[in-house]
Amino acid sequence: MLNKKIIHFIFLFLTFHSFSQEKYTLSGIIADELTNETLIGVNIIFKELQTGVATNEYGFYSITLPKGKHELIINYLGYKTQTQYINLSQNTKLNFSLKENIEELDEITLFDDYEKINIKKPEMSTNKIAISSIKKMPAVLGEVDIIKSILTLPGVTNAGEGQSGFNVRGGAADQNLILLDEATIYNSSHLFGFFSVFNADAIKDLKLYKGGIPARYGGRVASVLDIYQKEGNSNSYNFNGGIGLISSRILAEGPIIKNKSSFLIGGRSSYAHLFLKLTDNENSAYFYDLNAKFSYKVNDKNNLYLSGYFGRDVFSLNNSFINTYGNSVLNLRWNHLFSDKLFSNMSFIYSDYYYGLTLDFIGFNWNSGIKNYNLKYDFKHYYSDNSKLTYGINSIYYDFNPGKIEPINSQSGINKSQLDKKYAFEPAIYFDVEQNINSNFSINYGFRYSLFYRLGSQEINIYDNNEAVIFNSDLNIYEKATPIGTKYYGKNEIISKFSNIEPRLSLSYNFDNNKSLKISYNRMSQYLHLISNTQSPTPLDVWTPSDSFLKPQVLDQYAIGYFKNFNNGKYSLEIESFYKNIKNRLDYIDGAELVANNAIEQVVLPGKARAYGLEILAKKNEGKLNGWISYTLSRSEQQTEGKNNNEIGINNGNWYKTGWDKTHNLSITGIFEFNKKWTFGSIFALQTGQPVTYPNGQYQYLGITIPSYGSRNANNLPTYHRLDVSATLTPKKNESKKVKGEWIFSIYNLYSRKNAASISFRQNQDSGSNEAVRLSIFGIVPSITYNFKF
Amino acid sequence: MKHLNFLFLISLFFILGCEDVIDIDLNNASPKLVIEASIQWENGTTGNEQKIKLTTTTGFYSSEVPVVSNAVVTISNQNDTFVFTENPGTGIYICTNFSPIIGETYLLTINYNGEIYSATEKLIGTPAIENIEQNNDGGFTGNDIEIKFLYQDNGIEENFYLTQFTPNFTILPEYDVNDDEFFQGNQMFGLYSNEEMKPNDILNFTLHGISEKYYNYLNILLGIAGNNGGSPFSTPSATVRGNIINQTNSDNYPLGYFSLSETQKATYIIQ
Repeated sequence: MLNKKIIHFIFLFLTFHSFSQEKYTLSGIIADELTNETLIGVNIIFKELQTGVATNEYGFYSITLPKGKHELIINYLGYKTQTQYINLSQNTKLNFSLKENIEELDEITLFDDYEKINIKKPEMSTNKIAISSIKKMPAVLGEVDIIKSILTLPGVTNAGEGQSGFNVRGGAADQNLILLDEATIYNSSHLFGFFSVFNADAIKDLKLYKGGIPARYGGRVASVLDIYQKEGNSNSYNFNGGIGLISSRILAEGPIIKNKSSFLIGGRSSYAHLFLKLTDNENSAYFYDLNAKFSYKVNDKNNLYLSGYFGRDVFSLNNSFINTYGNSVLNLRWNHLFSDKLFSNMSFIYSDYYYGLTLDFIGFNWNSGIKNYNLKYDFKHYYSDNSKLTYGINSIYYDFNPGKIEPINSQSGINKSQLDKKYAFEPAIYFDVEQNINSNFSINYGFRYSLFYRLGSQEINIYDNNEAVIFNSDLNIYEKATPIGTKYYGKNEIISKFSNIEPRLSLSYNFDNNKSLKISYNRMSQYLHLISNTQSPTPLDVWTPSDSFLKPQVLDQYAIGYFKNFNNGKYSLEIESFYKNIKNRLDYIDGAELVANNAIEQVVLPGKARAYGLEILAKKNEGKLNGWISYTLSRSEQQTEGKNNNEIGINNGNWYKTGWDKTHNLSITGIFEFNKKWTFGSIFALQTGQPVTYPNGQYQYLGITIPSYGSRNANNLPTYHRLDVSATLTPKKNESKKVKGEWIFSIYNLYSRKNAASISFRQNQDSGSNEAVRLSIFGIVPSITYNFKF
Repeated sequence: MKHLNFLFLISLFFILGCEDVIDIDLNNASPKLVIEASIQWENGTTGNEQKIKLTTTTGFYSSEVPVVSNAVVTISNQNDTFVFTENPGTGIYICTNFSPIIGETYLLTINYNGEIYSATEKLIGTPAIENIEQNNDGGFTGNDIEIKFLYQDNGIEENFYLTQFTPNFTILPEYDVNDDEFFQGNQMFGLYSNEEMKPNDILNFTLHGISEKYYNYLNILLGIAGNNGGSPFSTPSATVRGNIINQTNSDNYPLGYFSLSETQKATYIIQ
């Protein structure tokens, strides 16, 4: 029924066109003149026609225009603006090479036209930050960090200092879809959140979707962070790198066949021992990652790309504890132009996350992980001058390893054991239309139809009344149910099956060229659950697929926003408000053991989550001093009620704040270009402390003190605030030298605020009396990095 | 296993971070009855003498533990009823004729303030401690003394264990719980390591066989009591409900647990 309606709706809009004028298509690729690196999001503006187009993820653009002579302006951050006249009398292919803007250094522009508000586009709740902007922000611990940079945007937080992942609009960290060259990254953090897994040198572009998420994305309910790696310079060899106190990195790129194929290889590593002061023995804690990409331009119509990433964190304590984990991805892509209006990309993607642990003194090896194989075929159809279609198919096969334990030697008391492996298949189709109804009103509408099959081979537990968790009404606690039997499903046999239609809609109404009002709605479903009962995810958390006990999460999000540019785009203001609710958010019964649990269904209950808030982003886009202020007022909560009136649910069935709820969140980012030699940057962050549960009493049991607690997450840690500053020195003599270098000096937490990462309530081991103990991670941290390029 | 992993993660935080004691104002909830009915039959003794402790909850920073007097406390099995009498004013109720039988089901009944509290539990047997080993290159740093004691798990049933460590150089006892999930039928062990431990120190330990439900209870309880409260790796804090029911007014539920274990004790002098 809904299906039919949508199709009807689509046709309604597609028949809007007028065919009065003769029209031709202008299309091509826009790339950097020196490196041939294609450029994403370059604006081609036709002023007198009041229209324009931006290049896609592969640098391709296509626009249909009336016959005649037109002036076009090409505008892109960090590049010289080009103006050109074309006489369009037939379908025309026109590639552009843009020159980097290196002369006018005394006035930096932080945002290109795209980053300034795209007033007309029916796209909202989306932030794009150019890598060049990120590189100007103060680097924490001397390393430019993509995840930390998005934390300065409204609606984006993380649970606390040194915690993994990030939270978007009150969503959990596992509800973010993080894509690196289209491949899913399952853990975005190195060293528990001190670094992100992305090497900024290898990254070309990134975009964060918080709402109004286009139909081509699916599988996660909170956000999409879409990151593209550079292709590599196909013109000449280039090296760049950085040497810091904590980590160093190097990246090489160059042509394999000039102007036809190129490579890029980058590596990064932190120094071992650094994070452990126990230097007198064989301990180490470090990370490394590798990025690689090969690009091959077959001809004008076909391009091939092979890209990969491999990252690992390694902890080793005296060889008795060895812990290794990380992501690896590999992606083969084929771009094909069917016509000057129809662009296609086919990708075959492999992605995995591995977690391994050796505990010598207990005598075992442990490993767990997730693998997936993804085949995608996406089309961008520049259908007419008023409408652009995006459609495609996507199918992912998952292979889950919840854990395998093995004895390390014959003396070990451990029995070998493999927790049940799980398999699933997630196909989806989508269709998306972006359409300009008239010069003031544009709309983006589409849907995604996603399916999820949980597949064998696996032996599945059967429970009485299908209840894997039972309620003990005498004690008012939830307990594991004992299976009454099992059922075996053979290889690829369907164990359970789900499907969801996910409509997406965004509308934009621009009052004039500088003001617009936008609204959006999106429904999304998430079939994977990260089994995690901690404030923020830990590396050992395992992903598990939906089944009849763990139903898919389904989100509905509504957003409204007002956007305004002032002073010809010198300043801009974005105000957005959102409301979302999520079905089937998992919650865990008290005392649930999640690690090495072969029957997760016995410790989880389905709950719901909701979040709402107001976001304000004010930017100064040009001038010697520029930056942005973002403020978010929001609430993020969840609730797990009992299955019936006799059950109390979790937290007595009441709504409670999630561990990443932040009532107030303010961030001020400033960049000041003092002169050609010196640039200064600073970030100030102020936010409500993390929700926690403080004890409301204590008692004695077995000779030790036990705190007793009231409602969950009813308290907050003290307010968090911090100021970071940085200074970049570019020596003058650089211009003549072959090797170009720069020094970055930065100070994290300038006034050394002791922000509480946690407050624990415990009995003093010496006096036996109770106390509240604050743990703060970073005081003032100065760092210095030397970056070079040749 | 879970504990070890979290222990590591937390220790990394401690290495990185700095800790200080601060003042945090806390609310005080109204007092609840706390029942510590941990019946322990030390292997080789008659087990006739047993005690049950009744206290209430109090403010978190309070140094006094309020005791509960004037309760009527009994434990009964199929044939007998054992009466526990208070040592006046201490909240400690003592019985001198208790008769422990492994596998027997016992019923605890407490009458206090006109409300009846009750719980049933089985007495669980415990394997003997077979061997004690000392390793001077143990612990996470590899430089600490580590004491390992070994015992034989029963391979035909699921077993759960509680170990109490009482060193003579700390004022508080330490506890650890284990299950045999990955050790079924093998020799199992308990580990104790403390950087303060030095030769001639005395380490007492007691191994208790416990029920699965008591294991689950202790797992949560020890997690709350330990240092993991409030760290990024901690699980949400909650009040732990034991196995004792207020039959008169279920909303006024008590804290604590009724458990019965055979225990195996050993004393080790650090070499």
